[in-house]
Amino acid sequence: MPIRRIYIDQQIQQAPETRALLSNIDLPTTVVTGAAEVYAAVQAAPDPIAFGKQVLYLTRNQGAFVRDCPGTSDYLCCGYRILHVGTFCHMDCSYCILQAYFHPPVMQFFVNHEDLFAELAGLFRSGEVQRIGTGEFTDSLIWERWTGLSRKLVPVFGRQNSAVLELKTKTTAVTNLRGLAHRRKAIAAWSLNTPRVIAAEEKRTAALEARLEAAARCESWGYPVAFHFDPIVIYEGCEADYRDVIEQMYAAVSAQNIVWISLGSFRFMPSLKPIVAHRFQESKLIYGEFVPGRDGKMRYFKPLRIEVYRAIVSAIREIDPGAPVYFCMEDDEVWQETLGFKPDDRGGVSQILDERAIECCGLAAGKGES
Amino acid sequence: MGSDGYPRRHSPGGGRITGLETVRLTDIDFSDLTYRITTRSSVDDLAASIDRIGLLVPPLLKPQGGRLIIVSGFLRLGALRQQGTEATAARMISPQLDPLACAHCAIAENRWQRPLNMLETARAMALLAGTAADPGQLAAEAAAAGLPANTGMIDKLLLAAELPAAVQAPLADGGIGLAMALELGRHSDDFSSACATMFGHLRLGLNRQRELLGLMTEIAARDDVTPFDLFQMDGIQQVLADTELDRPQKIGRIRDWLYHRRYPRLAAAEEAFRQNCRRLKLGEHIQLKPPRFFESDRYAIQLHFRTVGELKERVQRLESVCHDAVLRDVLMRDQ
Repeated sequence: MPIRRIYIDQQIQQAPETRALLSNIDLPTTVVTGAAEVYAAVQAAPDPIAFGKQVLYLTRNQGAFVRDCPGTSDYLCCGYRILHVGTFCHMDCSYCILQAYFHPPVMQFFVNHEDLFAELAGLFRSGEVQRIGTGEFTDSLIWERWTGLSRKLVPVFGRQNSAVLELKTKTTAVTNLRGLAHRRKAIAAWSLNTPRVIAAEEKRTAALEARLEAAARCESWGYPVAFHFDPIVIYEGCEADYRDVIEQMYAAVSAQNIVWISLGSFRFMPSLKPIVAHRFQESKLIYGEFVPGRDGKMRYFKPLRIEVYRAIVSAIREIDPGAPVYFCMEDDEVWQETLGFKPDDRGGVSQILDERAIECCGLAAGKGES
Repeated sequence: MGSDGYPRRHSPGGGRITGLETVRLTDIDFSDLTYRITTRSSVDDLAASIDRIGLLVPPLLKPQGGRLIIVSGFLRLGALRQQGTEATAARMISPQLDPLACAHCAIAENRWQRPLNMLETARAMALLAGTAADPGQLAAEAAAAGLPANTGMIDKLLLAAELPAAVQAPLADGGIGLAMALELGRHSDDFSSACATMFGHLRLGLNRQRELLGLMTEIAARDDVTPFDLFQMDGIQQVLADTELDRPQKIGRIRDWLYHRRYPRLAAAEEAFRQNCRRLKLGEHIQLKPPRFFESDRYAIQLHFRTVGELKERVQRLESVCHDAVLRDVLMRDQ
């Protein structure tokens, strides 16, 4: 949805990042004393979620920029960390958990980048291997058009050897990545899905072909790439459709340059269901065979998940037998039944992925900045 | 004393009641239901009572447009008409009395006879809403009339007053509550009426009503049929029509049919588990419990015993079950 108004926290009204962003976007602005005014405006709208996608609130991040991914209980998590650059996005995916996660959901961009980079510097000094991404509470690249954030972030990661930055997106906004000194410490990553799911459930996102073309461009600029099949949506014929996507994926980029492929079937907090039912009345997504998981999230009945995972992994393995596949928020049984091993057999999910990052991105644990 | 022999009475309340008169039933507009609050329709008992002991409380009428409209006393007048009575005593309201005051009269006459059921309360609220200038005044008038004055409740009652008749009927007799009536009101008239009738007939509790409604609407949404089309299917209609089944059996069969349709793989897994447990012949003192929704891979055994001897016996039974191939079928996850 197009942004229609910018709210500016008066504390950062004169900040250089604020002025730079405003010079790239010509929209009505309102200066506010704090988030409460923005939230009130959003809550008063007939569809607060839709309204939250049409306003942009520029403010400071009052808390930590680097946070642990919220993950979940009772299932295996990968130890991913979030670089909290902003919240929400202007695309409109029916299944987006951010619709229910934030109250109210508002597009926010944090402009206190001095603090952001200071925090990163401290993190790098630890020398600990870290996988950090900006695409958990927002889409990593939706900010590019107005902020050029990647032009600052990527080189910073490029100057150290212990952490990788994953830019996860459903867009094709990769132009700013060209020519940056990434030293393979930034991973260009795309969420992928079948054309049917993209058309029905991922409104205003880039088409599959466009995402893969963008991935190919990033690969040509030397970036490692990654792909996330999340959420996997089960419908009649989905296995064949996911197979097609996998074939297209491997046709677009080289197998050796794929750092990881994650799989995660659609799962959601119960509070998301009425939101989807109300905002996306044509969607059948929430009427799948879901049961409460051990963490309270609704998940496809496990045999159904295992079947579709097996089909997807099989399609991947036919092309790339050694493909680095992992699951997001699944349990040992799913790993064992689908991949043939449990993560603990190989040191745990976090270690598996750290090793992959070390191998593909040239990380060296214990060595901070280069 | 009036010409009809009934004493004239002066009524307090600002001169609303101008007097007692004898009126011809043919002068009354029985089709004007503006002030009707009662949901009762049968007048047989009342007619018999009037026959025995006479009309104790004359109805309340108002001259309007050359005829008389009923403000209170629909059932009394209905009973008199059923008896063939040609004329009756009636209390007359001033023709100048405004609709709000008339509404209060109608509500008060009903409320002080008996507690209003939910639909009657909704009708009373709608009556006031038709005369109130704004929500604030409506709340004030509702409070004055002894009706709920909370805004949320007022909104719900006004919605209930607009529901299809087939949904209102079980709301009136307690077959469904207000919450369910309003949920049904969000659906098509044919579906909401059908569900309300079924819920009332089967005397389902609210949780079960919600479960069945949720199953029907989700199956319909998933399968691209209307909820009413689903309701018309044999899985429901044949059960409802089956006179050999009692109410709990009908409820169980309808619920099972819907559950299997909504969750086919889960239902199949649960049935397979039950069948395998029967094959294991654990006995009544040992229960094998599956993981909730088969999500985890942990099963549990519950074993009941009273004496050491019973415990030993049941442990031995469990040990033999460990060697039973059926147990592997039970624990097999790939189903």
